[in-house]
Amino acid sequence: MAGRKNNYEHNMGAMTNENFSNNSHRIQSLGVLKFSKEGILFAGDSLSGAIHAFDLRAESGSKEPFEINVYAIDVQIAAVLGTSQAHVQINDIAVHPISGEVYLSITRGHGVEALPALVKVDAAAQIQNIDLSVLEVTSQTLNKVPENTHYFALRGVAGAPPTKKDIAKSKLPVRTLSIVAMEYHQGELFVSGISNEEFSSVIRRLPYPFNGTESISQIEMYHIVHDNFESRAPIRSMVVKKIDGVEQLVAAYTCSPLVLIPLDELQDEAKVSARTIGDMGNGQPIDMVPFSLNGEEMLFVTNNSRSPLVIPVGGLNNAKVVTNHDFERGGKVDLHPLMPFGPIGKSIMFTGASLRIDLLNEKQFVSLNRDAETGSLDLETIFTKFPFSMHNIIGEFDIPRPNQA
Amino acid sequence: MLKYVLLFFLMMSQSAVNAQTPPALILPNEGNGSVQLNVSALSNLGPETNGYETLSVFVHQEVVTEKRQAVQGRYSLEGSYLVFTPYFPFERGMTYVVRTQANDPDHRYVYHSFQLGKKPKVDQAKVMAIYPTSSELPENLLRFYVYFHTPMKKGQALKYIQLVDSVGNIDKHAFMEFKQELWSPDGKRLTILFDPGRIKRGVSTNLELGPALLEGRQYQLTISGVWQDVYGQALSVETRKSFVVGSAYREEINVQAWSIQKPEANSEAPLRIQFDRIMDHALVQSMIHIQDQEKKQIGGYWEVLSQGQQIQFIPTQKWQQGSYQIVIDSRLEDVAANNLQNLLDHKKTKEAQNSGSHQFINFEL
Repeated sequence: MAGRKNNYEHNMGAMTNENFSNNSHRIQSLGVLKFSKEGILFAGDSLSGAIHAFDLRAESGSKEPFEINVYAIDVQIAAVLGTSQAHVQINDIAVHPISGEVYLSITRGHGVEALPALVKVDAAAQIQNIDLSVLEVTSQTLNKVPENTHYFALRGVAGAPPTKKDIAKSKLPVRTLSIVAMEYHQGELFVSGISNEEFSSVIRRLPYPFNGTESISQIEMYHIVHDNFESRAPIRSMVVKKIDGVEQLVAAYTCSPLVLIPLDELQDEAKVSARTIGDMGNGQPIDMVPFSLNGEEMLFVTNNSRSPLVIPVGGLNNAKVVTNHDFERGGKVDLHPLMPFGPIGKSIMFTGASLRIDLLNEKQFVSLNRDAETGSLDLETIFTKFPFSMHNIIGEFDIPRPNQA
Repeated sequence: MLKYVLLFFLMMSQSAVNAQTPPALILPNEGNGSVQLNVSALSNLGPETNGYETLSVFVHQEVVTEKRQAVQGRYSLEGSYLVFTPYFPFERGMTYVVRTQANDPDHRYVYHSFQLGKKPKVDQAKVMAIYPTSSELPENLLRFYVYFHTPMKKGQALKYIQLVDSVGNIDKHAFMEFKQELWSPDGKRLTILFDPGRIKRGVSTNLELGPALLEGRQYQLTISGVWQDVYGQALSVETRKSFVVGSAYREEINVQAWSIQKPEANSEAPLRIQFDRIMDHALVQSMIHIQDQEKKQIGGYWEVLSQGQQIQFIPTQKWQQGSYQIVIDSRLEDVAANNLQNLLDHKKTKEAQNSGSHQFINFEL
């Protein structure tokens, strides 16, 4: 792999003021999280354009599977961080592969006063702030990160004037998308996001332990719904799986193509055409979590606009790769007869909305859920077979017969 | 040995000064501040002490949750305070609730709430006075007293207080270093002691380093503006006391050398005593009193005048006609720690520091 030399730093995490200021200075934000199987926690810092790797291999916990249910977790994190619920934004969650504890990346506060925080929830459902000043961390700065002065376009729905929230979105720098999704595979970190170039959608490959090298590939794909070859918007979630006998990234985009990218093609400075094999329908994918269901390998794909999909990995083999030649021309939305398209599995019941999800153990997910009825933000354990909570559902079996009451 | 006897008396004289207790709980005024609990009175505070049990801070929540965790941060022991500094700064507009354990057998919880910017204003940190106030001091001066407006952070005095000669040389060994600095109970008066070894003639440090102060030379006592009080407020400005060194006091205090200016009978006028030297101002209050012919102590207090060479007694009631007696405890000291019986560097009597011993000056009105 041709590499480029970047800045990278290593802090042994001794508890001195010097190191504290060093870490604090270096860590500007904590976004997407990904654990290696050994317990290295990778955290995307889009603001500083760097990846931080926290060595949490020594964390050991209960080997026994346990459930975690923390209701109004944003209020409870606010209590631990000495602030109010409105000042807590949870960016991602990740389950420690050994201890089973759930790590959450947080933005505490807004604007110039925003500070990154890392907390974990243990088996006793206690929230602990992780003191970043004493953690052993290695960091690598990314190349070609977008400038902080480059903002999202201002637009409303289908030509309608932009709402206040649309205007607020247009004031966010595109740099917030420097690091969108991460996958760790055999000593390499795969990072999706955008660069400062015209074909901004990129996959970066960083060997770990970091050595300052990085390869950057530009990714283009055919977007069925837009009937368009696209190269700017980033991959939202992805995993590495062996498909058709080779290791490939299975990746999901907004509105919502499902594509395959052979790892071999991800070379430095390569322009890669992703293979579009499906479209999950309008919406924005959040997480893609591999799990096993009745012995079959599955992907659990959450989305901010629709129910999760359960996609059999086996179904991605021999999938037809499509381009603009395979469809009638023109945009296609959810109601188009072709949609959804391809081997995208099945949409399943989910109460409320999963904002972030990870596999807690062989049988359970842990999910950051927005409660459909109360709006409460809850960290809940749910079964992979029946991935929903029962409390907002009232059905036949909730109503006892009079003589059983 | 004498050094320790001396120390004992310094301690004694400190307890004689009006005793206030330092603040039990110090709440932050700024976001990056900390919550400090005075734990000197807590008997159960050992190395195994759980900081959270003794002192914890909670966010006052309007949303009810099934459990409530405390704000997390770092704990440290600084002097007599257990200090909690949150990982993230306290925020304006928030209400925080501090939970401490009462110093009673049940260790009941006690709650206080605070908001940044709403705390009652704390007095400004500043140096109020440095005694002796005189601009000429004897070569064998033993101590300075520094009075502060607010209780200061302890254990760092000699980092901030220096003796500088007229050409700017700092004498790093001028003062005694103690594990426990000599503070009044309210934390507002510090006693700084010149190393007696350098004052006492013929003692090794005196021979090696020589006396800290030399007759005829000029010096400055400087107090850095960086020094903070227990509330985290810096003194802000450097304080300097300039003085010239006069000849050493090498004689015991001789009350025969004092001159008395008597008040008129049936008046409330002060009675004045002119000394032949500068007396220790702190000991004057407790070591000199006046009694009437029935040996009853009369009410009033002493004011120190003329840079310590003169004192005046302000009576609370009118003087009557009759006999009076000024009673002087033999432990009264001048600023070189000579008393009525002994010199600092020359033990004269066998019964050193005999507390029962008094001298008297009689007068008639």
